[in-house]
Amino acid sequence: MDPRKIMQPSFTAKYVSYLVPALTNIGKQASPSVGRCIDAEKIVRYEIDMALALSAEGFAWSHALEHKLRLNVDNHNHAGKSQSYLAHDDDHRNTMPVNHEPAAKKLKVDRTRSEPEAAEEEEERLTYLRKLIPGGSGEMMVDDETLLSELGSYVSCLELQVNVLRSMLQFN
Amino acid sequence: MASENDDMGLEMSSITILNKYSNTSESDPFFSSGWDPIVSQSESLGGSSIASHYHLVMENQGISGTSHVSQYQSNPSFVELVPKLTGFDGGNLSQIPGPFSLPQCNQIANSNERGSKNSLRSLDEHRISETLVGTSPNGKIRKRSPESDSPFRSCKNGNEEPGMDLSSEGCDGLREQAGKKPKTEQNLSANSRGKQAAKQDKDSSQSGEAPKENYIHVRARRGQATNSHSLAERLRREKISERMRLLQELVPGCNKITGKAVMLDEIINYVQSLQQQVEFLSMKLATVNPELNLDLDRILSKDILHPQSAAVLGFGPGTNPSHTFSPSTFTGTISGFPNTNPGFPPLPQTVLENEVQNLFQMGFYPGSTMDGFGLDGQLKPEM
Repeated sequence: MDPRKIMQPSFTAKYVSYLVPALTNIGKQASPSVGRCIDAEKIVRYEIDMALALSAEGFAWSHALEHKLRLNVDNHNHAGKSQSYLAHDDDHRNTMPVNHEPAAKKLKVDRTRSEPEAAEEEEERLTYLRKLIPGGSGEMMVDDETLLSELGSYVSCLELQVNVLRSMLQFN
Repeated sequence: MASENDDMGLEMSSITILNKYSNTSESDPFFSSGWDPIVSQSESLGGSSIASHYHLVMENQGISGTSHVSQYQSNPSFVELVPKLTGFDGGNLSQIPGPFSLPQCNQIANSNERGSKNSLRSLDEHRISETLVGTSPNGKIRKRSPESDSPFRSCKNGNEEPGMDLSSEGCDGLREQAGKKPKTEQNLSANSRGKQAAKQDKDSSQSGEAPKENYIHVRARRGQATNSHSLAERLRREKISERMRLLQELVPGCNKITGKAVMLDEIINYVQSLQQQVEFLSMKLATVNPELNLDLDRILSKDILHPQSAAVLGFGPGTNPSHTFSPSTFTGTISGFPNTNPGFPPLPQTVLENEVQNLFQMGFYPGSTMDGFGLDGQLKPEM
């Protein structure tokens, strides 16, 4: 039995039930000014991430994500609008476009290297994966096995999230 | 009441051992908090069912939290867990007082010996890790004791001070198990990685050789390094490759990849692409946000009228078609909805909440589903 089949309905239901009201509230509160547009994006992004964290409770990454979100919201509220509200979002933005190619390059190089260096390559990749997953550098995922398990659930939930978001946008 | 007294009497002999065990679990916020699923889930995505036993024990303990005595009574799985390990270490069973005595252990051990290999393997791994860390000074034993339950350790570490183990074991409890299990594994992996074999290898070589012949499923062949350190390392690697295999199924297009590094690369790429998609959709959503009031209606109507709609059910264009999902699971919850009229009922949000509640009542809350997610594709550990 595919565990994702079990998880999917509850995740999807929770995700939608959290996000839609949240987005509706944003729509009600936001005034149509230019300055607000940027905030609207950030707020929407925040709600999307929070929906993900809350819909998949019980994982180290979801806890870490929720924690980060709340922390950054506090920082944002205290420091004003200039501060980026999502530190982890910055991580994504920084690591995604910049490091996407090196990952592919590593792919080519790896095959020519000998075994002990391949092990190092693996370690590099694992380290890189830790940056991608929320809480990856935290104490809960120091273990490689734990990291891989968390990655599994994280990937599944990301997929579900993408599908929900797509379906939400389909009718606009 | 009489039966209770009898049981208490029965438990009394073992209460000295397990007293603090239960007390710790009672008062332990860690135990009753939401961290339980984290521990058991995060560790067991790869299919190890140790977390299932683990969770069983913890779950049962949590449920009957009123009386510590009753906790033990109502926990048959706990009794089951005991002989599984003790069966391997026959020579030391005589040291165990109380209900977990030799004949009982043997009976159950024999019947459980052919039990799920995963559980044995994981239990053994934890034994190994326990041996590794447990052979250090006794103060360390107490802190580092992993998943194996108290009678085990007194049974297992025959060469050490049984009294000390028994009493120290009492302090461990599920809290230690829950809290220290990841640490133990971390310690294990850290040790294996750091090659700090010297002290632990010497100490564990004795106890490592004895259980070696019992690790039939670990395939400890002659000629290969048989000390607990290498065995633990091998088990760890097996666990890791098991989880890599699961990840391989998750990430589309990775069925033919055989290299670990290549696989990790694919995972990295996939995660990044998913995150990029989320970001893109998020920006799009922010743009169309004012019109979002219609979304819920449409999503729900689409789901109900076309339960096989790919988008919400995970068959989206970005999803690997090999990840088949039988819509029956989802429609099973929605089909209860009486109105299939395209003229949608006026309160879709209420309906959705009801469905969500139904899901929760049916046990689809994360506590159970995530456990199922964490196991070998099995929903319940007994399967």
